[in-house]
Amino acid sequence: MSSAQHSTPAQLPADPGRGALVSHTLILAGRHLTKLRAAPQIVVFSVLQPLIMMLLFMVLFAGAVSGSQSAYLQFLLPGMLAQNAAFMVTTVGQAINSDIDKGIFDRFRSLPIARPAPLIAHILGDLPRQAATTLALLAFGFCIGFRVHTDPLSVVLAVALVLLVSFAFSWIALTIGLIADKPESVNMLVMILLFPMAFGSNTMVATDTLPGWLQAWAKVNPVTHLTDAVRALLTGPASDSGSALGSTLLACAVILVLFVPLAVRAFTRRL
Amino acid sequence: METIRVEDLSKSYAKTQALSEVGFTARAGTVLGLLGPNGSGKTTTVRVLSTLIRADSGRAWIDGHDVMAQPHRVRAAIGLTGQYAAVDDELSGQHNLELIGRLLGLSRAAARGRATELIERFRLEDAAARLTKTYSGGMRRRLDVAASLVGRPRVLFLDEPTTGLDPRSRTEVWTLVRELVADGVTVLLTTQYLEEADHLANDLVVLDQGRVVATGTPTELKARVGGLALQMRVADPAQGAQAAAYVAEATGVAPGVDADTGLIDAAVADVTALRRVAARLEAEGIRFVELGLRQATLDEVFFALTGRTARPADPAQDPDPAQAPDPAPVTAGAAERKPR
Ligand SMILES: Nc1ncnc2c1ncn2[C@@H]1O[C@H](COP(=O)(O)OP(=O)(O)OP(=O)(O)O)[C@@H](O)[C@H]1O
Ligand SMILES: [Mg+2]
Repeated sequence: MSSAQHSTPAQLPADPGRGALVSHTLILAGRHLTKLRAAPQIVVFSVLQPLIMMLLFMVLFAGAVSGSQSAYLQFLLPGMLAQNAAFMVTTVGQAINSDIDKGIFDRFRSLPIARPAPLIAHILGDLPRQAATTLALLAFGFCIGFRVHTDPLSVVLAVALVLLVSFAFSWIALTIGLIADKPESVNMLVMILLFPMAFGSNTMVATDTLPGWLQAWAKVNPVTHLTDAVRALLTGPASDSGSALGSTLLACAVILVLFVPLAVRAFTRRL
Repeated sequence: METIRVEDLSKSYAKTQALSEVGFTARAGTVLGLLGPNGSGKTTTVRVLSTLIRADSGRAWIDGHDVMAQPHRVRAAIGLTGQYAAVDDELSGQHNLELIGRLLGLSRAAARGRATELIERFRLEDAAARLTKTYSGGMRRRLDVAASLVGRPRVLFLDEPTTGLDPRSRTEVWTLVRELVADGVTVLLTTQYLEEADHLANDLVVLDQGRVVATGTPTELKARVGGLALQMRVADPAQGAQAAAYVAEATGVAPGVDADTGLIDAAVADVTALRRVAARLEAEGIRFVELGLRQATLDEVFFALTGRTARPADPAQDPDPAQAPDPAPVTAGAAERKPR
């Protein structure tokens, strides 16, 4: 180690500089990709839970709701994709909490990098896994008989919409991950918050079959709107997706407006 | 020139005053040892100086940069090895280091090169490609220290860097610290191992309950608490109790007696006590294998300053038990001394 390579104090910039946030965020998000590449089986594990739930619902509800299992699958799969947008973000909260717990965040924060980069990287870095999980669930649906009745563009739009919602939900999980005292509590807290979203919806049955109070909740629940939009986009007619799509985008905007500042506050307060 | 300057730092948490008006300085290219028992504020000091938390009051400068006002400049100048190894379990050792290099602005190739260099320096070649969750505690610690060196910092913070290391790895960290210092790096090292502070630190700051209770070189501190201890061991263990009684008679204090080694140890004011003990032993015909005076150890200094022992010594830390004697009391209050 030669001292000639030390920069002198005068040359050090006073702040991270422009573009630093983007490049530091991408480098840190790349950490998640490295892990995904080293252990692609992570996707298998994260798709296992929704798969089992889907099969369970098919066995339990097909008779009551649609008569046949194949008809029910057409109804259920879009709902499962939407519901999973909520379930699959738990990892975001766990990951950031464990980074803090292990002191990895302290190391990052002691480096001359853009301050919010480690935070945003947790959101962006998990997106590839969420995309892979969503696609895997869809692919499994095809294998057991799900059929798309629209065009490829609508399918792409449906997947993009699921990921947009999971992106918004990620900020909720992130906030919880920043507040929770230990990684084990993250799972429970995220579940408490996202459970009503995942189940108080039209994922498994049509909204109008729910009890009145639940209908009221289901109608404002973003997962309901996402389910409606994804159903229309996958099983048609795609033109019906318009209003559900609008409501879904609005819901995402509301979540982001609420939870981005909350996460940033929790971040600056905790650390 | 002062590379670290700390003035009146105070920091309190809900129930505890973690730091109260802590002040000290460290000269460029030296090792400053921050010594103190559990909860004395060592980690808090390091976290304030490495910009992780803000002090309630007081100021600090690292390499001329104000820690509160210019945190980014401070971060560019420092390396931090926290108290607990901060490496990503799900990444390999190599990837952990490359990630830091990339964040510090190195190109992919340069980051890889720097990582490889450090992996070799810390003898982690065989494990470099493995996920760090498969590493032993010592390997993680070494990787952690390596991670804090990626950016070639001018000031390095090491918070208990050798805790949990085997003697060989510990000696390596010591060697590394000396090499870094020879290159002009300023090191702030916290430790509970007095032996470590004695070996490495040019200057010491002793903390207790968030306050600075003493500063000075290890030699100065030892001299300050009175300085000398008589140490002896008899040839026939059966005569140990008898010999201890003579020592008590000659010195006026009950000596510490180590049950395992038979080492008898007592604080003394001057050399006359040694003469009296020697004469008495000779008169009684008791043969001894060891009899002499030594300078007080930092353990004893520590005890004298804070009224308590440092953490219980780790047996693996003591290459030769005879060189790490029981922290014999230097001041009154021997009765309160906790057994090891
Ligand atoms: N985040 C915190 N919240 C509340 N109290 C804290 C916090 N951090 C530290 N403390 C308290 O401040 C005091 C100093 O803690 P610090 O970690 O600096 O001690 P230390 O000298 O590093 O101890 P150790 O040798 O155990 O690492 C302790 O009483 C500790 O309980
Ligand atoms: Mg500590």
